[in-house]
Amino acid sequence: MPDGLAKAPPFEDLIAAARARAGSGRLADLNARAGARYAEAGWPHARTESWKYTNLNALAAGAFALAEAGSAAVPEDKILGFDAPRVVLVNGILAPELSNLDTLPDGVSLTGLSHAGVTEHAVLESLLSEQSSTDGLPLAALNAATLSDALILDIAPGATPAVPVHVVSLTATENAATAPRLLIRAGADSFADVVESHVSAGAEVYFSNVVSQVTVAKGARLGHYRLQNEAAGAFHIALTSAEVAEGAVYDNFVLSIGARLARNEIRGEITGPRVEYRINGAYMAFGRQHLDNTTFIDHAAAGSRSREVYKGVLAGASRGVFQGKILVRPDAQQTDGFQMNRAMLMSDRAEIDSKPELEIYADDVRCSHGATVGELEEDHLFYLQARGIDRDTARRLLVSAYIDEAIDEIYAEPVREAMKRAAESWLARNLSGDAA
Amino acid sequence: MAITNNAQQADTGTKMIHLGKNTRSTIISKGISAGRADNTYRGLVKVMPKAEGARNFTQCDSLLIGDKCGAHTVPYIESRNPSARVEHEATTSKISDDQLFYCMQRGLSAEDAVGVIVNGFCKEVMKNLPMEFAVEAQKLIGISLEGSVG
Amino acid sequence: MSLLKIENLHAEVGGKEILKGIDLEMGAGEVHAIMGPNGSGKSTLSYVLAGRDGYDVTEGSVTFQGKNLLELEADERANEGLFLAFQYPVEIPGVAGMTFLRESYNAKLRYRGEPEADAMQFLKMVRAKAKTLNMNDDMLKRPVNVGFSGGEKKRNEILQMAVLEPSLAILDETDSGLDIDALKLVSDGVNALRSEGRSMLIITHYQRLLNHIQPDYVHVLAHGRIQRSGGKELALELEANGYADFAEEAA
Repeated sequence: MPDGLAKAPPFEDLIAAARARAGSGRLADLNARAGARYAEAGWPHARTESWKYTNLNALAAGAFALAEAGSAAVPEDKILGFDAPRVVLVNGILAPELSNLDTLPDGVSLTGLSHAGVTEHAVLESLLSEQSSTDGLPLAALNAATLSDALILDIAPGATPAVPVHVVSLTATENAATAPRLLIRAGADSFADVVESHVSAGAEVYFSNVVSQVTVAKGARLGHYRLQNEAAGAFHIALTSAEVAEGAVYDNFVLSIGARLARNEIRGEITGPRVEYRINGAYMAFGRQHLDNTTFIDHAAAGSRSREVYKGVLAGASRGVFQGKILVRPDAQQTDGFQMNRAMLMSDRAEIDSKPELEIYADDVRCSHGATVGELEEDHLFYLQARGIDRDTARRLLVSAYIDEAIDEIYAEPVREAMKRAAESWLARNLSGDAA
Repeated sequence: MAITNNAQQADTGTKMIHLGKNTRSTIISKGISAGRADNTYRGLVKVMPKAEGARNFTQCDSLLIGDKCGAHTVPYIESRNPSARVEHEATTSKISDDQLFYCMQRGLSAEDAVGVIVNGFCKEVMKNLPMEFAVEAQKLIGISLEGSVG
Repeated sequence: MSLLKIENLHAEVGGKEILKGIDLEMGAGEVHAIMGPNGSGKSTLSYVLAGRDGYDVTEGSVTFQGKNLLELEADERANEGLFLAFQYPVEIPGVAGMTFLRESYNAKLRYRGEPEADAMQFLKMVRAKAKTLNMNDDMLKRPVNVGFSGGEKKRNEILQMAVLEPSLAILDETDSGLDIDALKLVSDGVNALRSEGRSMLIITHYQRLLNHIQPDYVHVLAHGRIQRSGGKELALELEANGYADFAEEAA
């Protein structure tokens, strides 16, 4: 129970509206149970350790309303640009007419709450059994309490789809509060990539509360990549929770460049040996943006590897947060964990808060983490200038190379290239003439 | 340097705040856990906006003795000056059976062996202490780790 | 009374029986060589004698200087006068070589109820011995074996042996990884330590070490047992014929 000092948590009106909309039946049950968990978990306050560096007062004060399904044009210049069949969500609800549901690659199937021809029962049962791992977290509980649609992306065991699936999540309604909910299940020994782009299709101010739950079965290989490029006035809170089984590979990358305030939270559990768990990312902010990356890796089994490389560029008066925790349980011997966070401050009004955390209970492990904060090397800048390159261009080149190192961690090649282009165009727009 | 043994729980750390120009700080933390103990290092390095050219290097090393103890490092790094360079590294290790056997074959009892190896682990910190403290510290290490092996 | 008497020694590692009945007797001042194909149990024998965890004796006895060796802990065996020169000496970060030597030396004195060594005398003594092995002061200040080449590690083992003055020295594949010059240096060091009060058990796969350190007796260890024993000519025979004669496990 939250302490007596806390006010009632915000967004009770949204939860009530969701219950009214759902009426009765299994969706209503799901919303109601999540609503109770939300109240129990309590809204993060100043002394909630996990939210120490990210203040949610502005979000809590916002006047948002649930949004219905809508139509919108996909803003091609904002999403990740590469060739792949799309699954489009508008305001968190599947928009079949904007999607390529008939051309999804072999081995990939999509089930959704609102999609015609699917038993609501089966989907909800799946959701209910999967949601226990995420509902202790208030924002994830809020998502389950307000959603009206959810997508399950199944990759059949042994399937090797030739192209990635691109989930495009659009917010089209001003002041919308949306709850995109995605379940990705990679079957045993499958090999697939799922990409998410989160952007605005016209709205300026909104609240997008995303939950992606991922299970990677034995021996499977799943690439899971996201571009967060929300509107400048938007709030984007995202939780990805991944469970990775023996011998599987989970390759995750998040590029965060949009939103007024965004939180990229990834919680992973390694449940078997010989897992390769990779969560890498880059975050680029300017103006008064606040970008928070909070990760938690639970080595619950022996003999697995994790790797985390996050790089940030903070210009203007922006603020970056990196909290990376690695837990190695007592029986997780032979764990090999590597974590590196680097942040570059481009101005004297920018700030970085970094908390790389290790909690180790097994004695035969190799765990290292490092964090560096700094600026561009004057030597490097001068070298480029001495070769005739002007200072602005030199800065962009160096920062680009710095960010590309993180993007290079991505296994899937077309996605890697698309991410680099997205980072490039951010730099071209936001790093010109930004004095240090 | 923090040593925990038996069922001890320790939560210790440092705070380093850089206010002025061209300031430098180095933090070396050596945490040793044995028995069923838990050792947490909590460190804050904060660089204020006017700390032009500040430099910090923090090294957090944990040594686990036995498989029932835990080490927790929680560094908080907050920087508000772009010309500051703040670096943090952490490693985890254990006393290998090979090292223990090598020392015992040279006549050191299991506990003495642990003492010698732990002293080596802490060398970086110990060598900067005035001699009287270093000698005391070595004795204390021996006493703190009694019963940690065998 | 012999210095070392091994009787019907059986030992297993990880549940698998490696030593299947070793019998060996060594007198004071004798140098015995144990040769054999890889996997025959040579290193296992050295670890069992030194008292390493994980090596379990299932049958048999070992008497060292009249005492039951198997009852003693590894450090007690060392302080009684048993020394093992490791095949792969381990690194001990942060612990200076000199410091480590002094700890070992004093441990033995304490075991015997004698007072600890005077620091200055000890330093002088070690320096003198190090010099004969071509080791300078710098090597004594570096942490034990950290960043040492193979040859430097082996020389360090011999230096420790010279300082601790054991009555039984077991040299486990001391020649592995050494070039001719290093081999000569190490062999000279070992030969300088031969004396009436000291016995040596030299474990080797190749015969060439025995050109430099001439044994009094040679034994062939194969399939967990000593298959043959002889004088130093046996080593030359093995060099000519290899271990082919011992490939089949004897009934």
